Amino acid sequence: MIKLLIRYKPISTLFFLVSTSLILLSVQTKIPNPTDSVQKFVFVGIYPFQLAAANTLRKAYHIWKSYIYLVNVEQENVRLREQIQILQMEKNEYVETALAYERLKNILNLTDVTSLNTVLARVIGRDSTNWASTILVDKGSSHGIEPNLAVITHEGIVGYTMSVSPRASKILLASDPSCSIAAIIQRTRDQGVVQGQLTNYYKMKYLIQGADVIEGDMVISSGLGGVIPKGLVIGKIARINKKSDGLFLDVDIEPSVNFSKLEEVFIVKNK
Amino acid sequence: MYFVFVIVLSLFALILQTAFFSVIQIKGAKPDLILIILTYLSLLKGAEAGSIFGFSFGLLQDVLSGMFLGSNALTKTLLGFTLGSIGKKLYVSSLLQMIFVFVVTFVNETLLSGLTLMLKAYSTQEVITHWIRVTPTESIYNSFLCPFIVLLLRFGERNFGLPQQ
Repeated sequence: MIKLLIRYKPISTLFFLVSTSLILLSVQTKIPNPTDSVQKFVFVGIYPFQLAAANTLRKAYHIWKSYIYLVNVEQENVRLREQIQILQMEKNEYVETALAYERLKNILNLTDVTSLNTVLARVIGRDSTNWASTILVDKGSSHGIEPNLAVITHEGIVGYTMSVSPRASKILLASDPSCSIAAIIQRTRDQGVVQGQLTNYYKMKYLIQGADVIEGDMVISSGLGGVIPKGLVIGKIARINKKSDGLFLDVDIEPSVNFSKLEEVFIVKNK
Repeated sequence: MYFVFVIVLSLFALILQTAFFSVIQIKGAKPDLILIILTYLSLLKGAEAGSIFGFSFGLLQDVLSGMFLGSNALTKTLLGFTLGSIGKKLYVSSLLQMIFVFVVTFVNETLLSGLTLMLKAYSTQEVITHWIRVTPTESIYNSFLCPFIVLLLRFGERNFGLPQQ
């Protein structure tokens, strides 16, 4: 038997490697994350190099943006000054609204949902394939990070933590089809589930046919499921494809986060 | 020594792929540098080396992505073996390398799309649309990057041991 294996070494190597791959694949369909310790081990080894590469890239980009690419800066300055004035006016209105909210909150004895305990993490790597959407960040279990914590930016929900090693974590982005978030339409309070797609849009599932939604409606997290806190922005409705049959609407959501430009994210430590 | 050079180069390629090339995607497609190295190595060093390299670095790629562990390992093992089996019979010129990388990328993405369809909850239409959007661009991207990687590998061959074939 051993002689035969040695004689047909390439074939037996192929058989062994293909079998190992198939076993790994089949195990994962039954048990979620059975290879977590292997992933942690790889993250620990690759972390310093990944961090160095990310830092080099960041510095190169900074030099490019700050010293080389200065075309249209003057026009942009004028535009930004105008925008600051508009935002200043809007800010004043919001301050008034916030004060009113604080008063009403005390009267109604509501709990504060905006005070999230977050950790700032830098993106040091992205998915190596075209078939999944993950990022690697420079914070891990030594910073109090655990699997299944929400990850956000000021724009909205980014995703949640998947695998965590002492100094790095893998984040499953909301744009990955494996990621589902319980959601509500902010205006109408209709509920559904937002799921990532391989396109640039999310899909909102289980939104009933009679829901009074329009394009441009904001979609926020409902807090159901326990991973993503309530009230975080997911995106806005881009398209509603009304079907004559079926119970639910077919709705495309434009993500609030630009995933291709993610540099820093916040990991929410309290759920 | 050449073996160590290839491993270091492949690890560097993998880090470059996740840190650099993911930022400069073309039409949503990022290149697969490991696939280029795999194509070159398999054609020159044979089926066994090709399948072992494909499995090891495919597995590493799986760890650094959201794919099921074993997806890239499986497709790259099969490709490494196939290329290694036919490669010895061919004269491997630079142009032929580029054509091989183009075709291999097509095959690899098709195999991955099949696996994705089987293992994840994607619709067939979604996978086909994504395949059409990403695969041709990635194939061209990989072919374009191929001469640079091959240049590095040949530099390694000249300086770290194994004679060029």
